Amino acid sequence: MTTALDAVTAALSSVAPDVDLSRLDDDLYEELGLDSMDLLNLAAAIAERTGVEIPERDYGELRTLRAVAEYVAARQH
Amino acid sequence: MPEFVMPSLGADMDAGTVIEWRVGVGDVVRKGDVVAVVETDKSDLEVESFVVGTVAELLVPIGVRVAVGTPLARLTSTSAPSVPPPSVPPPSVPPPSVPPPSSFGAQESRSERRSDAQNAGAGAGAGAGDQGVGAGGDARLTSPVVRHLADELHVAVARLQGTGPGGRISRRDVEQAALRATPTRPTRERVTPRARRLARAHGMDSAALAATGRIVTGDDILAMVAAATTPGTTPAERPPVAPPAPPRPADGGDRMRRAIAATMARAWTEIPHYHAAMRIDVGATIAHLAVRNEGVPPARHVLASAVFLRAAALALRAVPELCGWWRNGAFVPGDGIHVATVVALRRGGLLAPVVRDAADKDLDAVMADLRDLVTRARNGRLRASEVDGATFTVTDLGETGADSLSPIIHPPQVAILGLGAVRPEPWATADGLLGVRPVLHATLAGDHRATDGRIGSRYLLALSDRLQEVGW
Repeated sequence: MTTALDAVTAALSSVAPDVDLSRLDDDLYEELGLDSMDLLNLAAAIAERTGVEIPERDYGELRTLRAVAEYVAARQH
Repeated sequence: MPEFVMPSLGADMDAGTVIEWRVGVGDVVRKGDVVAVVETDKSDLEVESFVVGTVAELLVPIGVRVAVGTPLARLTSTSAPSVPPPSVPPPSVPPPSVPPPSSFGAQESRSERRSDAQNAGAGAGAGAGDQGVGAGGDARLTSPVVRHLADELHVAVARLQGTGPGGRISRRDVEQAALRATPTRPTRERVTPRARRLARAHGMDSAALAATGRIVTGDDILAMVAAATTPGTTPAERPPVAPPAPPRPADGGDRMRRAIAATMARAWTEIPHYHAAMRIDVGATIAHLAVRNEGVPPARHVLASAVFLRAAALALRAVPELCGWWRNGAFVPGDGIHVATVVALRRGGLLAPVVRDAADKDLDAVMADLRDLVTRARNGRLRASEVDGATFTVTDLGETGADSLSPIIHPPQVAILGLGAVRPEPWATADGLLGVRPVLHATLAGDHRATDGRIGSRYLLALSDRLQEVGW
């Protein structure tokens, strides 16, 4: 989980360097201000770092950084 | 003699600051080469040259805010210097303090746009002579450009002794007076917006950094952060590089707010808007995208906003009356379908980079442009040419936005399309039944001086038609 979280925060930092990475439980859209383009870039950066590709239909349930990290951790081999 | 002048990077820009030279004396500059990075009220922009030549002299030091139209660098012509071009002015014309038509920043669109900007004395546009009359100083002995520079540098022109011909006060006179009078300049002009942003993000005090006496760029901040990061520590454990910055009363965000305020107030008071709205069933678009993006790596996904932008561009082909500019009391058709897309920045404010020739590009190309422009608008730097020359604007609130918005036109454009979030809504079907469809609320704002509501209505119908065509 720790490695997945590190990878996810590093990915977010690369696509949105102005976002506060310590806000793990804030809503990515409403509180951190990401939009669909940011999410797409984040998904691409996560795929690059972890090999986990998040299909578009799962975006809806991934509302926080922690949720994304848990999603990635569950699928990493 | 080509000159590189401070360009007008939008109708709301009066002045800018060179924060980085990308060329030096002796460098050959070709069209499209990035010559300098300019800080405007809204962002840092890489500005390219529209002229060919060799850099002979850099005229403006880094960090000094100058008016639009101020010569920044002198170039010597590299092509056949002994043969003057046919458009060279007659000898009676005084040495140009404004650029010749071919030089950077003096393109028709830029100079015309300048002419209707509020501070008309600032750049004075191409062709304005040295004899302009303005407030402050002795207008006969200075040019508008020099007077504006004097204003920026807080130099009283009336007290200056000019060293130019006939006692004329030159730019150099003003700059030297400013250097004598003010050993320290306001610190906010010594730290770029990106540097401020990054400094804030890393808990550094950008104002303290500025006291080093040179321009602090984002790269400086990143270098300091890298230097301060010792292996094995997490971001939270890192010692702060400098004490936390106190709240700054006038940083880049405030300046952007002021720039937006000026443009929008002008747009709202000068442009008689009409708004036409339509609900559009985008079920076909959404279904097609879901299939298209399934099993494809995220890097090649296409977003609905790219489809909407392309459809908006294609609809302009059917309704060209909305594609262009309002200038000098008349509609001027655009030189192409160049669609600006409004990007909201997390730190506040907006940028509107342009997808050029959007109707000629396929969906993947529009998506690639959009992704590149939006990402760089937020994180890095846009080029000056990428925020200039739009003939139409789309503002898309995206998936988490409101249902609809009635936007304000960005002058000198004559129309803007506002798109709300796509949400499932009740929809009367063709056979008289009620269904649920993903619905997009599209609102077209038109300049009533240029067109009437019927044209806006026709545009929305064309947009709806384009969005029903699957396989764009």
